[in-house]
Amino acid sequence: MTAATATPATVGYGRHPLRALAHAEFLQFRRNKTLLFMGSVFPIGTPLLLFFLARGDAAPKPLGVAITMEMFAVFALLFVQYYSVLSMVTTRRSEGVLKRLRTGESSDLQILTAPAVPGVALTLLGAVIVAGAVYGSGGPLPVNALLMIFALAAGLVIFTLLALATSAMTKNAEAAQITSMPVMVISMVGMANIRQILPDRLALIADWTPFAAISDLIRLGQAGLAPGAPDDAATLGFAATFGETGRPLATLAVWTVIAVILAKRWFRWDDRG
Amino acid sequence: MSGPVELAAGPVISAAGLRRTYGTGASAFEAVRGIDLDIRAGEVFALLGTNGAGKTSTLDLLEGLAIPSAGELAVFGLDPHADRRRVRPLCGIMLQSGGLPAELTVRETLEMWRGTCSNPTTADAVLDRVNLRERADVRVGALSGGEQRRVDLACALIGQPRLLFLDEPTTGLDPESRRATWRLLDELKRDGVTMVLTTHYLDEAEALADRISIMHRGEIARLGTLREIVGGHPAEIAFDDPGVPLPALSGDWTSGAAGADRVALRTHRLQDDLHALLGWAADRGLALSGLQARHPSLESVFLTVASVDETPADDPIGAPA
Repeated sequence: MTAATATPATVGYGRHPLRALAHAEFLQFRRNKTLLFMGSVFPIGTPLLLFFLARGDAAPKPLGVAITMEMFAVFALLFVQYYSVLSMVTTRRSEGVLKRLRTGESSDLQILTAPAVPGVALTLLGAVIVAGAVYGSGGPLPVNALLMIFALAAGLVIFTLLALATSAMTKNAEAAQITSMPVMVISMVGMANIRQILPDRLALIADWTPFAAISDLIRLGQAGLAPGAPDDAATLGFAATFGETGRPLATLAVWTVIAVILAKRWFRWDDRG
Repeated sequence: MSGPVELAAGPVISAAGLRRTYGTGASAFEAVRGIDLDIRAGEVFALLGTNGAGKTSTLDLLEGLAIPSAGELAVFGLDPHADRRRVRPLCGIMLQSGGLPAELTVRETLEMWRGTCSNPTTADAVLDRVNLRERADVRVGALSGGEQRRVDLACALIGQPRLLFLDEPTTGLDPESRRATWRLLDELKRDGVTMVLTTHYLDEAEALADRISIMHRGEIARLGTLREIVGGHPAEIAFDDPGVPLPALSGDWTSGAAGADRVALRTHRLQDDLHALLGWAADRGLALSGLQARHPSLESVFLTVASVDETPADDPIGAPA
């Protein structure tokens, strides 16, 4: 018994804090029925259902595919990434897990990245499934897929940071249903078809919300529609799409900075203060 | 990459003038008010004190979880906060209150911890040490409070630490588990693990610690071995008040302190005074009912330290009546 600690039994073992922490987060994600439902049925089922209902027997159009992809993105980023990180980080804090982990060898970055991993994995899996179903059933291929992939990646980062900031004012997982509302509403307003029906002055503001940038990049990348262009505008080619990325990229940059500042200023490791 | 820390001779922890202040301005509160400590390799050091004495605040500093507002601090010769990447692999920390995910099983929890450690042993090895092997596949949330405490201890041990911080390690444990934990800590001590522990159980400090410190209001009020701490303290003789004038002995008589209708004498000459008292009683044919004679104990020292703010000049030692 005493010899057990004297000689390290560590042969062949490498240290992988993030992998170990992320694995634990996966296990807990899997046991949370609410997150599991919100993470699969919503982002994957809803866009596909509407896609196949809307297309009927006709051949799918680029705009229809763009709307499907945008819908997937809004569900994946809000209900999978934002909400799961918010709920998981809040639960870990109220259980004292964050504070406890900080007593170990993991870095702060590893501790905070781990709860984001299940959402990222589920989002990527959902993206593959939705893209496979849409393009596999004859949906027109995107004009510039790079923009769409970039939009999703940037969205994952921004909404993870916003979740960390929001968790500062969230007492427990139930309270997250309320505290998540501001970010949810601000993000929904950024959807292209909502901005189209807003009064001009509001639409001008809505153009600079985080999800508006992602929506613009998806429409641009899938259908070649410039930001703000009406649904029936002339479509751009691959090279021309890069020229229209100014506003969405600026928006994403601004929100990344805002989210980092808010997360840094507000985030707490411990409920006691 | 920084290399492994050399486990040189000399103190594992050394602190001088350590202070910790919460808040700023008028609402500032100083929880740790100038602490000097040297904890040697292989030593078990107990930190006692009433609630709010500053034990956990001090531990936070030693563990590198908080930055001192003033003072010098070195753990393995390094700054435990700034150099935590080098210090932490040598440390095991058990906080006062849990911090384990309720939804994971015991084994999953330990595997998670194991993955974060530089030099871990196996989950089974630590489960055996805390006697929880048969509970390995139970959710942590379904365990009793005492079992959760033992999982917490197992997490602190899985990295095979050379320095262990234990904040009330046996609170919530049944007597049998407490004894089992004591035996485990004793084994670790024999392996040369240095330990800093806080506890509310004075018998725990007496049983485990090489040196004991009693904190009061952010300062160390007593520090030394059990013998040193207790040595300077008076013994006590007490019995039911016989209602007659009491003899003059080496200490002062007090009444009511040890209970209603009780009188007590604090003395540094227990045997002489007891002998004189019994002779005095025999001469008068008095039966001293409820007679007790007690050597000073850690408890009596602790209570004296803890009562300092209520009765500032409470030390009627030695002055013969």
